[in-house]
Amino acid sequence: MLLTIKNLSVRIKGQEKAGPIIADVDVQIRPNEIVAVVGASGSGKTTTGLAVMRLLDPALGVTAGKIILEDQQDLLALPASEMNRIRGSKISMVFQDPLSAFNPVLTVGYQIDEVFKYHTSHPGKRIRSMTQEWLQRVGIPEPQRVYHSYPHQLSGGMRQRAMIAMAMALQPRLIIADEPTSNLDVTLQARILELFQELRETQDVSILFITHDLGLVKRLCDRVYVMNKGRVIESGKSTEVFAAPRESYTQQLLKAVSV
Amino acid sequence: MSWVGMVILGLLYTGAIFADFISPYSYRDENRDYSYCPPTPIRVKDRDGRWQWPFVYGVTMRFDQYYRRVYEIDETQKYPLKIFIRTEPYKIFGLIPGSRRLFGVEDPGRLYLWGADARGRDLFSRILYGGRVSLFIGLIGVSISFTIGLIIGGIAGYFGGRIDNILMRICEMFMMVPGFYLLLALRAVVPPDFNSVQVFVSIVVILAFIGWAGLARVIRGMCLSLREREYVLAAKAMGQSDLAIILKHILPHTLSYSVVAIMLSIPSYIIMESALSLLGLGIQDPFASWGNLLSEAMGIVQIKFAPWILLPGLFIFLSVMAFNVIGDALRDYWDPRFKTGQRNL
Amino acid sequence: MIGYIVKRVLVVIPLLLVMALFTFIFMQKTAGSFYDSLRMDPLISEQTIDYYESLYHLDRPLSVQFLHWVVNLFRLEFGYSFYFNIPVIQVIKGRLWNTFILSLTSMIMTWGVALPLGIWAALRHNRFVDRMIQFISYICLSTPSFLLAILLLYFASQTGWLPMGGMRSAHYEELSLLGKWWDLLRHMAIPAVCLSIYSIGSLQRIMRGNMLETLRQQYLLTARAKGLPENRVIYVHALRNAINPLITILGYSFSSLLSGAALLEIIYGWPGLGNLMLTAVRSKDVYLVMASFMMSGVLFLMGNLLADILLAKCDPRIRYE
Repeated sequence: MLLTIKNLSVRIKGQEKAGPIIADVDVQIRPNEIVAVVGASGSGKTTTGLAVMRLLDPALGVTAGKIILEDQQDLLALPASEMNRIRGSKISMVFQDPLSAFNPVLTVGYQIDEVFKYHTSHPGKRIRSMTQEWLQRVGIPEPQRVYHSYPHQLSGGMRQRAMIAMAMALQPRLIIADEPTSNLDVTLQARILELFQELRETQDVSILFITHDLGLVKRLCDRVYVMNKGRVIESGKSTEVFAAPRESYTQQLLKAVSV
Repeated sequence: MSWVGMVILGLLYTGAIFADFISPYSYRDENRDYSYCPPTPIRVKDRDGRWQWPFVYGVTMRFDQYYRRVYEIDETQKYPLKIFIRTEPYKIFGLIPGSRRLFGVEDPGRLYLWGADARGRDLFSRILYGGRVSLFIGLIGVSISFTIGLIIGGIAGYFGGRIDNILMRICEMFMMVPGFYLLLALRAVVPPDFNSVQVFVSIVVILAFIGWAGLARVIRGMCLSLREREYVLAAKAMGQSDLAIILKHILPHTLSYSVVAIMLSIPSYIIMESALSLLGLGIQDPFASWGNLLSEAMGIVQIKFAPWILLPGLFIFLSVMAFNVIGDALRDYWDPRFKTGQRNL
Repeated sequence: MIGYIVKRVLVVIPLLLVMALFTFIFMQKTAGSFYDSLRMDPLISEQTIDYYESLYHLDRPLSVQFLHWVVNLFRLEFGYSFYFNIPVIQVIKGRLWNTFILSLTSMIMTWGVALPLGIWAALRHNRFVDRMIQFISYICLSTPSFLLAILLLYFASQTGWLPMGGMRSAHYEELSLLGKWWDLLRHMAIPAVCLSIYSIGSLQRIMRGNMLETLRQQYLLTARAKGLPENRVIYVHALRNAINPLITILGYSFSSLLSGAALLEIIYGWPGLGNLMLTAVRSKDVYLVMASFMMSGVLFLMGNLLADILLAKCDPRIRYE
């Protein structure tokens, strides 16, 4: 098992009376699997993803649970410096809005280089060529030009690809993608989904796909977890869940979307 | 914090307005025998420790071997504090006559709450009178520059295009001129035979002349964005004249920013006037302004022997600080980002 | 890039011309029968007055006079100072440099203190350090520079640690090079500090505000998700963005320092442009006043131009427009 989230609960620090943000969440991800976490906004799906990376807002705190990577280490128990080493190299993240996710005053190439610079000791030139290789591999036609461009100079689709390149740079075992296509139009969406498929097949990577769009889930994901109000209410192979949803909430979700 | 600021301002302005009444002496009441006399504390217990009606001891002056003045308390002379003491008649702002002051002592006693200046004038009284100039220059100056700024900014922001361009270039031109140099240059143009009131007015005008550009810029920025709002378009569709739209729809929405901008620009007027008077180019003797009073403190010797002449500086500091605090609090209060959060003034 | 600079310079030139016109009209108002009263002064020779009269073509209509005056400006012919009895340009040259270094020192001081304080305050938002710094900033903002100058001068006189005025000690010429530098620094200490006090308060608040704003941005989360050390996240990613708006301020603050320095020069006796301007105004030395005024305007505009150029260099979003 690549990643096991067991019993995870998160709440706002100091507010015991208000309910938890997420409670008792169990998720399992196998190698080379695309797992979806689906739910409406506020269901806790993004929080779950951020909790894995230990990048929760400082106002939130994990009150219970374990997150076990490769059946070996509990990520929540690691010292901060260790966790830093895992971020970007073993587990990386792709965000919803690539324009705000990239630093506007640094070039795209520089920001991807940074991943190499801080996790490896390769020389500068080699880093540059590796970055450009990845840019090419994610389907960007002119990697050199894009390398020297600033985020606002690229189109939405290219930006998102660049972000995926940044996430894939060190060949992590898991990518957490938080609504990666929500800001793109339909055609671009399809391309990005294809890209994820391709990556799953050619690289040894799993994807935790967080989304509210069931349609995407059906096309892309192997297994799905449905969340509502901070809890996982249903899970299983996506074909099975779509064919025969057990919970009424899941049924409602399916009905609302023309799947 | 801002309550403190408001209280301070309230006190300062009241003191300034009612200076004639509150201060024991007029600003020109001098007595050279008491040059740089130290403050005369008001006592309530006499030599033997008995409670008394508040009074001050007399002060005698003699020269020591270096011909410096030494002031000694003469306990044989007691001057009781009198409330509503009858003094020479005066007129508040030259209009309302009066002949009593809040407190004081009978001649030949002198009540120097905060010490005396070179000519034996009571510093406390002069500070109160000085407040008139320093505090009101800010208000008057800001109203002038704000009016100009509002009109020009409103027109530029509303009409946009070429008018905006031209007006903003003019604005930039005014902003580009270094303030202090312009102040000096303009001051040179003012005829030397102006009396103090005219000097006061011309200083205010000069300061306003320099200051309107910044406000105009801010207002113009806001108008530019406001004119796209729906209620403006609706008013236009209904055929309202441009002027009416500007006055009724756009300007009221600039109110919150305007008030903050005003509050935060008054301190610079106070400081500019003080700086001018400090250099002798502003309000002249015998009239008092805080900057004027500070010019006496420029001589080092005086500070050593009469440290109380630095007090006007404290008042400048307090008034500037009060305006800043209130302006900031108002800005935080109205900042849309804070609207959901704290409202602790 | 060059195109941008040229555009900005083109905007500045008409402004300078308007300033020149303004100055010239002034001159007409105050000069009056200037030359007549000068003829009565035995110290000034007839030839000097004749020379200047012809130079300025006083017998021609005003517009022609203005034209000649502007042309003369370009030839660096600023007229004659009747107070110092030497051509204006000689008076101004030295003073200009003095004001410049005072303002420069003050600016270095301001940025060197305000930026770290602002960053520190933002990183410790709402904690004791932050509140302390905010309080000190308030005091800095409200203290008039001249008041601080008077107080510091007083302490200088009592303790003798720092000189009480002027730019050079009496024995300046005898000092070694290092000694000369040290002497200059000691003389600059008080006026530079007084000049900076307000800007330190104001800049610190702006830096803190920008930093707080930047710390909320999404791209910091991305940077952390890449496993970058926290130091890098803050000092490279966040800071680079927070500083951008401050670059514009850089140029304008230099200009305002030049202006603010004037008052302090006068109180402290620092021989700079502002001090000169005051002397000129007091003695009604018309050409000197006008030249100082124009000079200060030029410096001011150069500062603004510098700000615009720097901003364009630092913010890639502007550059490619």
